[in-house]
Amino acid sequence: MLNLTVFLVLSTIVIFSAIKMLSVRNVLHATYWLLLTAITAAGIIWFLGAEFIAITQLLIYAGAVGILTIFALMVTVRTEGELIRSRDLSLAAAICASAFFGLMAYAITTSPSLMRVTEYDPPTFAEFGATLFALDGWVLPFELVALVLTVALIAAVWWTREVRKGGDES
Amino acid sequence: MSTETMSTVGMWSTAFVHVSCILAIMIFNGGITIYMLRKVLGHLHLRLGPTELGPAGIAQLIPDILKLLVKEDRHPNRTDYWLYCLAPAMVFMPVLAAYAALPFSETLIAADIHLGLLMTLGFVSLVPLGVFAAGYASRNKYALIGAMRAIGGSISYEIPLILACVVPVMLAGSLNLREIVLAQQASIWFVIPALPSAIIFFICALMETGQVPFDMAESESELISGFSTEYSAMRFGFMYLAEFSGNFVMAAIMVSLFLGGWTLPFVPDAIAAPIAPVIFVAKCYLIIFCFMVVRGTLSRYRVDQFAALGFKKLIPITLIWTLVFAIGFKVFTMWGGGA
Repeated sequence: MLNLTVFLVLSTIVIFSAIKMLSVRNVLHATYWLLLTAITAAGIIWFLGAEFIAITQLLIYAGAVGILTIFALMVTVRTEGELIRSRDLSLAAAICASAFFGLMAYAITTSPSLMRVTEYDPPTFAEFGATLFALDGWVLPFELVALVLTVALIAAVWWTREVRKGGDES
Repeated sequence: MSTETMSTVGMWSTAFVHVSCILAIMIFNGGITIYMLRKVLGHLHLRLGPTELGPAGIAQLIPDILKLLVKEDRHPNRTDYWLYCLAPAMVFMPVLAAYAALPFSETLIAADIHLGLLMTLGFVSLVPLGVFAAGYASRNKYALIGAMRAIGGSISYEIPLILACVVPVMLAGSLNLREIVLAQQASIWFVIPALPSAIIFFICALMETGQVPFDMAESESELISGFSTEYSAMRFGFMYLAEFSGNFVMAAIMVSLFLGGWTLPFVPDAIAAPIAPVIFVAKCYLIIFCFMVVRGTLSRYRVDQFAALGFKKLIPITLIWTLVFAIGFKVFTMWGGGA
């Protein structure tokens, strides 16, 4: 499905928009570059045959994260000037990023399993779900993850209530 | 040419044909919906709607479209230029992509994929981002307020919308819209066992498409069309077209999930099958007609009432109903075997 031309075009867009996302100073523009990165990455994943992950990428990273980022900007930013961020050009960050890039490059080029052409078809969504929710499969970890989200939600509610109470007392 | 190049060329040309067909559908749908909107809202308000041009005013469409096409493309001076120019495309493209998985008949689908429903909803959920881009880039406070409301609405209504789809998916055991329709053909329309889901979906679809009780982002009378205030000519035309196409997509999802898609009850398959796309489209316009009746009847919610309805009522009701239904369905299938 994924031929070299398509891959090159898509990956160029991903890399370009990722760089733009980091380099533009308007946070809102950065959000839209992030969106383009996520959608194009979803395109690559789609052409690789992992439909479910591509659509999840679209729903979660492009849809939900994009909307939530804008929502966060909406409730925190009061003037247009606050949307403009300063560029962080710290040396430590550059070293960390290069080190991480080196590590990833080393891991990808040296591990043979990632370069292998798979002979089986990617599992369909139904098989994926059956494995995920089988009683002897991943249902317990899945439920635990859901519990973590619930705890986070309750914590967020509790936290905001506490702040408001403090505001009333002062 | 090698076979691989041939198949690549074939793939891209098929894709081109599909996209052209969808664009044609979108444009026709735009025309039909504008005319319907005028006539239906007119009669609801005890007036006639357009009457002068052509029989029953149907030729009114031609000057309307011409006006959009030939109008000067002006834009305010201090917009966020690139975002301003791209925003109509950002509203338009996701809706265009959302058509891909709609099953007009058993064979007439642009992209018959396992996760059609999820993909359609995924694309539809990108629309508010384009709306926000339009509102922000216009550098106009009314436009910005409208755009913020669109994002707020998306946050409160996307969850019940997607949860409302869960019940028919459970009944059919598939996320493919075609298979969901086939499952209804084999049993009954899912609107009967899943009526609460259908009602919740209808309400959320009204919200998702920005129809009147929930047209917070547009609010003609308070925000002067909200996010699209600063747009004119064909840029505005694209947003308008995307809005009408959004109506059609939501109506089509509702028809596929709850109203049996291209099938008819009590009509043998041999008669219904040749006119399947006609049945499907007719049902879609019936749903759009219902949207319009609601639109012409109710008045706009206040912003706080709107958020409260989403968060405090629709989400809990949908969660509880889905849970109750899931337990009931599981018990039923364990005892009775097959729904």
